[in-house]
Amino acid sequence: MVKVNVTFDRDELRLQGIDDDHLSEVAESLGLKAFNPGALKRFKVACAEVADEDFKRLRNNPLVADVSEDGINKAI
Amino acid sequence: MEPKTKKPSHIVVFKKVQESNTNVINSLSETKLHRAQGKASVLTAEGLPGKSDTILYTSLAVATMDMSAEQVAKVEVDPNVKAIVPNQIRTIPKPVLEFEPQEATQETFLQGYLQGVIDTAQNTLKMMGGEEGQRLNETKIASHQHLNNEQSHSWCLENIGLHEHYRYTGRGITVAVLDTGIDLYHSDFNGAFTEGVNAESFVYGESVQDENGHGTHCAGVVASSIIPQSGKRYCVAPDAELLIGKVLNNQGSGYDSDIIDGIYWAVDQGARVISMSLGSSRNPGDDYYTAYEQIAEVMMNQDDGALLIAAAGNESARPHYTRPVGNPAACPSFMAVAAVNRLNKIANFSCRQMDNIGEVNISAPGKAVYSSWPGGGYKSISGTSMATPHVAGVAALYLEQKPTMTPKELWHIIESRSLSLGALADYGQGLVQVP
Repeated sequence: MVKVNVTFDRDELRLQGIDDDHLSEVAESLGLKAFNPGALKRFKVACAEVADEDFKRLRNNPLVADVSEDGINKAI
Repeated sequence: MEPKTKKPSHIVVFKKVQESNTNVINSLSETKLHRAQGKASVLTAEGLPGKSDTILYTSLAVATMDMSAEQVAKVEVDPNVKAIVPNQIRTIPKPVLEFEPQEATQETFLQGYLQGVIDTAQNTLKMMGGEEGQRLNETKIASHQHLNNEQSHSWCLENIGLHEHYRYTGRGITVAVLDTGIDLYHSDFNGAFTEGVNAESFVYGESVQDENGHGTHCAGVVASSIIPQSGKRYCVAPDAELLIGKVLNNQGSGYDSDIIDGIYWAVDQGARVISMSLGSSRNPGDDYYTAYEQIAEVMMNQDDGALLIAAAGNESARPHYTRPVGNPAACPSFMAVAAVNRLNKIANFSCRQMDNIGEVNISAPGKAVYSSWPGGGYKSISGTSMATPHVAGVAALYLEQKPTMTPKELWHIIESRSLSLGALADYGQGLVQVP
C-alpha cells in the first residue's frame, strides 16, 4: 500500500452530476477511503492509501486529475 | 488529464557491478539500453511518450526507470537484484542559513562614525555637566532613529514601510502559520496558544511545541508582542489572530497529506491568510503539484476564502547559479515570495522563475531576519521562509483596512502597492509594502 493524494477533476465531476454529498461514495467506489472527508468535500482532494497496482487504474479514470505519492516537504 | 511522468518511478539496486545488469533492465524496457553520449559508465533507453528515460549507471550498479507493479514483482526475485525502491526522495532544500554578519554599508559606516564622535563629545561634556551634555544626548537619539531604527524596529519592518506609530495592527484578521509549531511558552506570545484550540499538530506523535525553531521564528514575524521582551519589534501584525498548524516535524520535514490537513483546518478555523514557509524543490520544466493548486484555486475563488502564500525556495547560489521556484510556491494560485537583503537586493539563495510556471510574485525581507526562537530567546536567520511571513503579516494589515476584500482583491493590492525592485523573474512585482 502506498499513501497518495488524489485530485479530482472538478469539471468532470460537474459534467457527471456528482455533487459534494456524493463525492465520498464515488471515492469509495474507486477504492479510496479518504483520511480527511472534509478536505475531500471542500477541495476535491483525497488523501488515502491505495495498492501499488491501483495507481494506473486511478490515473486512467476521467474523474481523476492527478494521483501523486504523499511527498516530503521541508522547512525552507 | 493524464499526469505526465517526468521522473522514473523506481530505483533498481543491483548486488554488484556486472554485465548481466544490462540484460535485467533490457528485459523490462520497451527500448534497449545504449551507451550515453560522452558518458562512459551510463547506459540509457529513451522512454515511451509520457514515460521517463531508463538510465543504468553501470559503475554504480544502479538503474532508474518507470516500473509497473508487475515489473517490480518480476525483478524483485532476480538473484542479481539487491533492492527496488520507489523514487520518492525529493531534493532537500538548502537549510536555513545561520546568522550572517551585517553587511557593511555606507549607512552603517556613517552611523558608527557618528556614534563615535557623539560618544567622545558626550563623555567630555558629561565631565563638564550642563545643558550641552543633555542636548548632545538628544541629538544622539534622533540620529539613531534617523539612520537606523533597529533600536526599536527590525530593519525588515522599516524596509516594508512599517515605522513607529504605524496605525494598522491586523486586528480582527486570522492568519495561519503552517510550520514546525511554536514555542508555547515564549513570553512574546503572551501565552496566546492552547493546543487543540488555536494550535494543532498534524504530525504523528509530536505536540505543537516547536523543538525546531523554524515555526516559532516565522510565527513571530507575523504576530507577536508589539513590545517584545528584547525591546526590538519584529512582528508585522501584532494584533492578528494567529493559528498555528504544526505540519512539519521537529526535524523540519512533513508529508503533503499533513500539510493538506493543516490547510483544511486553518480554513475551517476562519483563516484569511495562510503562511507556508515550506516546500520541495523542482527542476526547470517540472510541473507544479496539482493537489496544492486545486486547493489554492478553490480558496482564491471564494469571497471569504484564504490567500495562500509560500516561500519560493532557497536553492539558488547567486551569482553562480539559480534554481526554479519550488512546490507549492510554483502553483499559479499560490503567492510565491522571494527574499531580499536589507539593501533590497535579491538574496543569493532566492529561487527565481526559470520556466513557464513557477512565477515569483512578490519580495520581502529574508536575510538576517530577527525574530523569536524557542527557549524565550531570539535569532537572526535567513531564507525565503523568513520573507513569507512578512507578506502574510502585510496581507493581514490590508484585510484590517478592508475586511470584505476577496482573496483575489487582496492578491492584487499586495502586488500593485509593492515597490518595484527589478527583474520580475527574481523580485516579482517588487518589495511588499504595508498599506
